[in-house]
Amino acid sequence: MRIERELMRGAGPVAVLKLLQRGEMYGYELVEALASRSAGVLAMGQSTLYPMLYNLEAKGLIEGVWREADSGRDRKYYRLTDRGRTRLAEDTRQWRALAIAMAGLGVLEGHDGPTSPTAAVTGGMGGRP
Amino acid sequence: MSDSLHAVETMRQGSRGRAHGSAEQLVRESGLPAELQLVVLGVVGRCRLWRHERVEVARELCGHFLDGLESGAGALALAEGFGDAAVAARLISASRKRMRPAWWRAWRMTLRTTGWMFAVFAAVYCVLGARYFLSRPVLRHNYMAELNAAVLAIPEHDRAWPEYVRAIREFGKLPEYFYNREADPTAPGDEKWAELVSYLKDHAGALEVVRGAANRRDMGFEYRATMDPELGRAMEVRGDGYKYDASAERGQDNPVMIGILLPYLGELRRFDRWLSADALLAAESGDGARVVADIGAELGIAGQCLKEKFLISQLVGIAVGQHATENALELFDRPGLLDGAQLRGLAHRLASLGGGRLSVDASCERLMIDDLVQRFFSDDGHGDGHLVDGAEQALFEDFGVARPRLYGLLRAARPLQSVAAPSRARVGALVDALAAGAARDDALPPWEHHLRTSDDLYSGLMGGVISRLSPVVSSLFGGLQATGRPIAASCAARDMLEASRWGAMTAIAIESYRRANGYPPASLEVLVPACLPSVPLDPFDGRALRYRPAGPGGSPVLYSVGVDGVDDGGRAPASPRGRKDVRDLYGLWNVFRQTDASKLTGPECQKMDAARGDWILWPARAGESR
Repeated sequence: MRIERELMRGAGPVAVLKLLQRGEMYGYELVEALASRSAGVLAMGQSTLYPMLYNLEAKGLIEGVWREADSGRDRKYYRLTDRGRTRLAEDTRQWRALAIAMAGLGVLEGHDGPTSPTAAVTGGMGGRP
Repeated sequence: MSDSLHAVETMRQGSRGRAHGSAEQLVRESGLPAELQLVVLGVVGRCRLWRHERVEVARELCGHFLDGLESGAGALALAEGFGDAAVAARLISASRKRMRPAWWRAWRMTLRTTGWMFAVFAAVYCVLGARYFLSRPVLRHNYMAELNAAVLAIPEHDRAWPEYVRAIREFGKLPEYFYNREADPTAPGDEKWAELVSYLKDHAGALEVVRGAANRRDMGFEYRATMDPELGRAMEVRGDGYKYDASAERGQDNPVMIGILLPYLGELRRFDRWLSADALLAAESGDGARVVADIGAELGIAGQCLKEKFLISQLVGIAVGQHATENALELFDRPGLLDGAQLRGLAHRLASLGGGRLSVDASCERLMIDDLVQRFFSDDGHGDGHLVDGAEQALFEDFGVARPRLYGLLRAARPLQSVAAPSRARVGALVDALAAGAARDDALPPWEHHLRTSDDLYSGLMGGVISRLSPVVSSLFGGLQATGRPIAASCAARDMLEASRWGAMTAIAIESYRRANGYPPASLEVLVPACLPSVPLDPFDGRALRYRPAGPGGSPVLYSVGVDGVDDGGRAPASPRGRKDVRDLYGLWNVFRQTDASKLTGPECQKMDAARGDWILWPARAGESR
């Protein structure tokens, strides 16, 4: 399922911040994680991911560092900054409120209660693998 | 798969501490399959980034694809999964630029803001330029034709100007000193007096023509922006090399009012001086009738000028009237010169000057401003409009005014000026306010001279609006502005003429009373109403003009308290300079009224002290008014 660009524009950065909350990751790893852990819903082309990473870096929410990987090749790893953590917490609250509101309207099918949609949104991304 | 592993190994070796000269070199040396190299080159090639930024982007994208190859993905799948390289390049460029240093972003913001501002300015300028350069004024009035319609309606026998021109022809060549640029003498003893006397004797007929013209009701001068043809041809006979250029009589459908020529003023000033000199000569020879005729002609010239509604004409009329009045005050009481009928005739001419009360009326100057407004502003049909590129170029040509340096830039800025300049309606309101203020000032009595304020409106209008319409207007009006406070000064000059005129009429009434009764009146009140309609008021304090009856062995004195406002019992200032300054309604009077004299020092204090005393109206020699 492809997500509308406007929706993706809002969800993508939160998803990336959430993935980096657990530890640093490199670009290809992020692409793979987004695709696999959202069942392909948040899969994004690299042409979208890298500009997003640069934007988050420009805003000081993440920082990238070049480091030698196990393969012996230099690789750029991204990790969350303090400001990024604060933003992630705020965005998470907003997404939860949005999910509850959408559930209340019946937009989220099969979830009438105020808590289940939150779980639907955060469950796939929040737990550790 | 073996290709992929080779690529990974190549990149691994290449990326270790190796500086790449360019992104393209880095990609070529990455060992990536050709299709993936194309993707990376397609992105970095389109990125508008600094060299090291493009290298870093290329490095990361190469690493990305190598990670994909390492994880077992095929090169083709990776290339297809990357997405649109052009979109990526655009997004990466934008996002990488956000990571640049603050100084660069500030500089770019400044450039962008400046660019936008310039674009907005250019757009606004285009709109204003179209409004300014493409709009055209609408000339609804031909003010000169409207003025001339009234002139041409005057019956021929009431028009003085044709007779003045005839007199100019009859005078022919002027006195020799004129060609040496020397001024007319004014009194016996002056250099060239004998020459003037001889000239007047030789041209008695021409002077009689002047007297006849001065007795006509109106000037009847037809206004033009070019030389009056009759005057031009008449002036040729003077033999000073002047040649009338008939080609100048080109038809101008609607000439500019500020280009109006008033050549009669200079001619009439000369006639006034000659009449004055002739009156002195007549008095010397005991010819009372000629004295009255000469002074009457001067008053006639003054009256004709005062009827013209140009401020400059009225100032000439006031000056000529003042001259005539001073002549009357000096000559009327010479023993045996004037008989009773001549005295009454002179008094009648003085009383009828200007039809009674003299007014300062600048309505033709208003027409000049109205004419400029109709030429420099558009007309929405409801009294409003904006500045347009109307008559300026024609004015430069017509008046031969040199365009200022950088005029092109100045003209290019005019559309912007048109926004800052007041609208036509606003200018109209300012002109109306000035006209109303000038009328109020004119009506104020002389002792309230300090309340005259319309010159402030005049300065605001001329300096702030009219002279800024165009450099050519500024150039043409520069002289008028240089006169300082023209309305108050004109009113003051008029007030002094009125004081002198009423002084002369009162003095003649005193003399007439003396002749009728054998002794002078004990007070001015006894002259009313038989010899005077009322006792005139002192221009300096608004009270009755002062009169000191004749003491034993003396003669009566008619006087004003003068500039210091103090009644000194008819004592004139000691010095000739003080006797002149004692009549200064415009300058020293305000100093006396508004300043603590004890705090003044230096020349101004000395001038004030010299002016302490009374203004002796009559007997003239007591005040030495000439």
